[in-house]
Amino acid sequence: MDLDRLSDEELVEKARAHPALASECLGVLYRRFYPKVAYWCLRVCGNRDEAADLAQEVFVRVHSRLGSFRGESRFSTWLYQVTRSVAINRGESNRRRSSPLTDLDSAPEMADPLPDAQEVLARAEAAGELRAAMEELEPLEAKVLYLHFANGLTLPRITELLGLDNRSGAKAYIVSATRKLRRRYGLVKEAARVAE
Amino acid sequence: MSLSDSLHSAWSPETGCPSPEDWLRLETGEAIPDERRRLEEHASRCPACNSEREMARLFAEAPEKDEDVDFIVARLEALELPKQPIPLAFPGRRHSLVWAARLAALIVLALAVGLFFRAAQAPPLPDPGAGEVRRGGHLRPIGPSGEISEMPREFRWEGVEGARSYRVTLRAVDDAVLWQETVTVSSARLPEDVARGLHPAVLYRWSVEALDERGARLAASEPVRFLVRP
Repeated sequence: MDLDRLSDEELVEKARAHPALASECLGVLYRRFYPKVAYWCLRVCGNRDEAADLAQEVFVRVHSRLGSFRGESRFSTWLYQVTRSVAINRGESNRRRSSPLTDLDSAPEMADPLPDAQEVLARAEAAGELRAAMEELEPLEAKVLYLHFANGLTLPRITELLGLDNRSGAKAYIVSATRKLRRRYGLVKEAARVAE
Repeated sequence: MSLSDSLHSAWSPETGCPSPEDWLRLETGEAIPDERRRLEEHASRCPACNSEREMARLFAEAPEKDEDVDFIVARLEALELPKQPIPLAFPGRRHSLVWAARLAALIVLALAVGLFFRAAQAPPLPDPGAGEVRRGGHLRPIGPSGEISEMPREFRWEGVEGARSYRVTLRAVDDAVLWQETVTVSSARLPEDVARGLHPAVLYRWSVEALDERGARLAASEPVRFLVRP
């Protein structure tokens, strides 16, 4: 059978139904997405070695978690979820390595990933405060801040991605954003450190 | 909690923002016109979602061929993955040792989760009494919840004033969406094929959102956990 003619989702189904063909089916499927994931990782990382490491990590994760793909969305959508999640975790750990101690980071992690009602409430209130503070920023400041801290992109990558042509690029926006946030929302010490 | 976690919590589907997958669907042209309008409008006033849209756009656009991309693809092609991902195999082939190990694991898991639920249930949260102020934007799920004796066939919740529809979502513990449906009443039947894919002694979570006539979120429940006793 010509596996190239099957859709992405059909390839997963076939791999499930015929374990002997799984390797071949998944090989065809993954190869379809290698350029897309490679390109995305390159745009996010900038450096091709780092991007190659990230892309490999993505496919290792995809392969190990393929059982959670139930076919309710397109395979490419699920792949994007995985890719984004791996990139964010990697960006976060890179940033933590470069600035290992912050007040926020030293807080104990939640033992239970499913928080109780009180915790949900506290988080919702904190989230509300943060949203309100971010709404006071210029749209571009907020966008740069989110791309850096939430999506894990480096400042040079953000400068390039958004086509910023000012002298210090994304850093200027992070500096002004964090000054405003520090005034309004004292807890954002991690962001404030970048501005100093 | 790190700033990254705080940002993700502040702008998430739980706080009314579209999901990253929604942005991908917009950028790949899969969103229907109404949804497209809603997403475009949201992105214009939400810088966080604007950033998420940027990330999705990068994934949606056709990759440019260049030597850096070729280099990464070559690295990927050289990647040695296990012959078959472990969870991909369906439990169709019976093997006594494998099944014995799975059964033992399920029993241990069931005991652990049973203890967890027992701890989590005490003391119960008080119900808001008549005349008390209710926090806006919340929706009260009815069931299924906690340990149950058989696979649920239906999800139920209290209706919300002004809601035109409800979107109910069932997730696995790793947050993967197993099923999602939008209905106009305050209950939804779980399709047979989805129910067949659920397993006893495995923890699942479901949640529901109330939507207005434009599909914007009016209220949302907290995730509810349930587990079918083995």
